[in-house]
Amino acid sequence: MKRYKSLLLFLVASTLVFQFITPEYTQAGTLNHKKVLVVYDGLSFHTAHSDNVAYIVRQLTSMGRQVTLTDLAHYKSKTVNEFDNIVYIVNTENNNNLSGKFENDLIQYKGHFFQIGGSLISKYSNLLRLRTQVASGTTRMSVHDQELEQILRGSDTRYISDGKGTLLGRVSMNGQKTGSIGILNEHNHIGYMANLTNNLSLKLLVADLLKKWLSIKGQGAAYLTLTDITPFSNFKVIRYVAKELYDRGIPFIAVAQPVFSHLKSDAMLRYLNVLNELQSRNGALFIGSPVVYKTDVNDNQLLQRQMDAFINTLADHHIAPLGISSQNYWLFDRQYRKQGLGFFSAVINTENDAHLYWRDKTETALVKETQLFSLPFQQVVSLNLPEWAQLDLPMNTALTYSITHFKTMSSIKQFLKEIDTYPITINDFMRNDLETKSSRHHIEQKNGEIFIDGAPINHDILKQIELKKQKIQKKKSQKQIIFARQNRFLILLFSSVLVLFIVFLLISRRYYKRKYLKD
Amino acid sequence: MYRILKNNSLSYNKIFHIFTPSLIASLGIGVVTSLLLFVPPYKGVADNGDFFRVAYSNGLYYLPHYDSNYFGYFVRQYGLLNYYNENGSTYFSSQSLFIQLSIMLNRLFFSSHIFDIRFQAVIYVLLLMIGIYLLVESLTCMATNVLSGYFVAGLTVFIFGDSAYTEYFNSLYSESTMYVSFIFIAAFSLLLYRNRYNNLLLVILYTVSAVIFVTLKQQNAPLSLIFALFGMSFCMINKNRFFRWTVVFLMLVILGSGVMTYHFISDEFNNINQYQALTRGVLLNSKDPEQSLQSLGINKQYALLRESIYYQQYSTVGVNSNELRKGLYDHYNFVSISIYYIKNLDQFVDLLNTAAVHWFDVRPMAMGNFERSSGYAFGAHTSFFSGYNTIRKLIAPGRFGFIVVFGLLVSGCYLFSFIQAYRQKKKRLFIRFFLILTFLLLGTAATMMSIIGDGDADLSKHLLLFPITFDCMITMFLSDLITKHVFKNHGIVNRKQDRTRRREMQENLPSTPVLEDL
Repeated sequence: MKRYKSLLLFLVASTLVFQFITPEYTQAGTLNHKKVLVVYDGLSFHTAHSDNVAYIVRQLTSMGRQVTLTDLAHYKSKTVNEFDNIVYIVNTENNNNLSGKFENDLIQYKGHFFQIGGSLISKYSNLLRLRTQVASGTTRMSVHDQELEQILRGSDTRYISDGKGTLLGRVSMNGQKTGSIGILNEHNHIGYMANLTNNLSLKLLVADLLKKWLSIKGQGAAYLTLTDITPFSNFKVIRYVAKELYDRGIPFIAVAQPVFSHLKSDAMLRYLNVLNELQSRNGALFIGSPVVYKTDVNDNQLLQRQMDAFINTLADHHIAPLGISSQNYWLFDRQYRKQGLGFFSAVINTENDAHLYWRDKTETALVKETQLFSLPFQQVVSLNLPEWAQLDLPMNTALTYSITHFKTMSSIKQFLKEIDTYPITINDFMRNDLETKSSRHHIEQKNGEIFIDGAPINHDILKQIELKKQKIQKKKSQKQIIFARQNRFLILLFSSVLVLFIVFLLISRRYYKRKYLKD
Repeated sequence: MYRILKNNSLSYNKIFHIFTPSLIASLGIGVVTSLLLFVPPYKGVADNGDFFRVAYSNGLYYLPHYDSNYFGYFVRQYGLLNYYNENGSTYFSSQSLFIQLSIMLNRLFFSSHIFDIRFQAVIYVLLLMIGIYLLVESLTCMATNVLSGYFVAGLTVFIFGDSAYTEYFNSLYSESTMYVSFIFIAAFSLLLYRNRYNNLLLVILYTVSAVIFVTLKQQNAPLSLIFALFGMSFCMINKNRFFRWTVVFLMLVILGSGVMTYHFISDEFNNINQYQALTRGVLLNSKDPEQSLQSLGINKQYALLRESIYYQQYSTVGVNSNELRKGLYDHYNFVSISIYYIKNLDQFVDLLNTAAVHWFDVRPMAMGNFERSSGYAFGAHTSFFSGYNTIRKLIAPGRFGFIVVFGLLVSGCYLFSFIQAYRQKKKRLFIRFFLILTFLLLGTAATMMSIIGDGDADLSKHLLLFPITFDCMITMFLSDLITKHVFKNHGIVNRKQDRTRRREMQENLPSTPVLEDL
């Protein structure tokens, strides 16, 4: 009995003790874990940090997070309380000009916090016992404990000299180890990245940090993605590359630009033939977002009608578009979401162009079931990984390669060689479950099979879509013949009258002179 | 200057001398245009997307909610950029002179933050009044009947005061500058024909107007050749060597301005025209678009672009992309398209007939005339003082052959006076006939060049020169008909005697006739 009593006492005591040592930051049970608030101080155009905000937003949306974006100037009080996760991006070195509202809210904030750039806010800096320094000039950096030598040029580089937590991204200057770029606290609830510029290694590092911070498990899958396929591309090259990839057993995604007019013409049918062949060579077909030239909000849902017509045309010819590739800002626009992205369950998230054509802007991005982060393949290859290394990407990534780069046979061979030799695993997109819906068709991909309206598609590449030769019938209607003859008759009549008139004029002039100008 | 009426007193003549038809016409057009532009509800022309480069390169920016007014409502106010403008040097056009002048006036009298486009309209209205004064002066200064002069004045106001022309003054379209500068060109040419003012001054002013016209936009650049060629006829006015060399020099200036305009045109403009010359020209009426493309050495897949315009809201590829540059733009130009049309005349004639249907579409039907605050429907048009435009559209046959027949008729009528002048060796009087030929050539050339250069895209804007030249010819013809000078030349004004006469009138002395009768 005494033994049981002491055991009971021990259990009670340990429960009480554990109550005091549970971490301060807990996952809120009532709030949505997938919502992230991104706050930034400024966009810093024409600096090395100009891409930071767009990149982080793209990263987070590719990780399946619903991002709400705001800057300090427009930050509303108590907003942080609606989110479990806050990312704060500092693009200016002097970040003492924090918005008072944001700073006050952070003092009481209990959720997860991640800061990129600038000096870490004092509340979190104290928790991490952080010490940072600034290195001038050229620095060499390595990440993931791999010697991915990247030289950070230009202005001063802030780095972490000491902190309590997991330190990532070694920074060394002139061969001497000096510190790290990133840190996560013990439970991955507080994160800090001292520096972020337009540098791929830093970008991959911040992706890795964010992934750990968001507690996302598993490695990202990489998909080879051929882009810029248009009806005006070199079809021979496309067919050749598709065949080579198929023969090597390399699956790929093909992003084809949509066509909105003359959908029954011969030129369109030739384009469909090429897309059909790409699909037959184990290519997953995505539609590229159309090029937007202007914003006319009174266009009567033009985009939706045009996209629907194109998807229907593809499906009519047993070609299954499985997703769309669009610029990141489309996810933040209500009209583009509905009229462009609404057909698909999969999106490839690409960088924004310089000029954005907003229609109905919101602060919160759309989340799709399948989202891929796009990264140019050439940038990844430029990392110069050693042969023994294997590049694991932190998120699902579309490694894009534009077919416009295939100018010569040697460039194609170079590309194929890089695909074969680079230490990265190319995954098969066909394994994902996807859905595309248009007004007339329902396209699904399940367990590696594609179905259009419930029926599996035919992968037979020899079955070409028959070109309808439109013979020009020189049919002249009866009316045209009569008018043509009438015209000729009238022309002849007028010409002869004119000639007669001139003749009479010449004759009469002679008589006139003879009669009236006699001297 | 008028012939003395037999039964009229000197004071009666003085009234007619002060309230001349030209003054009446000028005031009349001022009143009509002011009612249109400055009296609520204000009228103008809505933006179709073309204002952007004009506005931003001149230091203007769009105020909030501007986007919702596209096509439907004209916007009266714009923001004024007060700091560094990175778009400052992207737009080369003489239109900027007038915009900058109006911005100066705006800052002086209104605001340094908000630009009211009516300040620009004020400048154009004043210029129009001066231009109409000079034009009517050249048409009526030798009127045999006083009333006929006033009739001509009324006719001029009716034709040139039409709101289809003047509503452009409240917009950033270049049509307003084009309209006003062409009236000056016509006026100065006719004043030279009449020897109304100092010849050298008129030639210089003609050159300035022509340079403003030519440097307005790219499509006007080739017209510098026609203006220069016509201007060379001024050498016949005066045998003085200095005068002749000055004329030659000034005509070279006009030619040079045409060359400069081409040089400063941005790639984007070239691409716009080149793109639409193919998609809205060569491919539009082609029975076999792929065959047409292959004849130009272009990939037949581009047949998919048939009927598309440069400013398509959603397109397959960017119109400025490398793909189009290498696959399309590098394969053809103005010359190859001209050769194509020579080989396919039926297609060219079809397009010319399409253009002829739009000859008199001065008022763009796609753009509204009222402000949103006026309460009018989106895209509503004004019918204020647009009788002439309505009549002209109704009676126009809409075929290219019309201009051929019309041209033959009018030039045939004026040929008699030309032959007469030739026999009398009065070379100054050749100018009227040459002017008629120039008008015909300008109208026809503008039509052909817009088809070859841009297909049938934006025809109503590209063909504006045709209705202006047509209206100038009609005005000249009708006024000569009224004053009975179609088949015979007007008298040349003897300016010395005219000055004597004016002095005599002021001193109430009996005045002497100043006409150099033919």
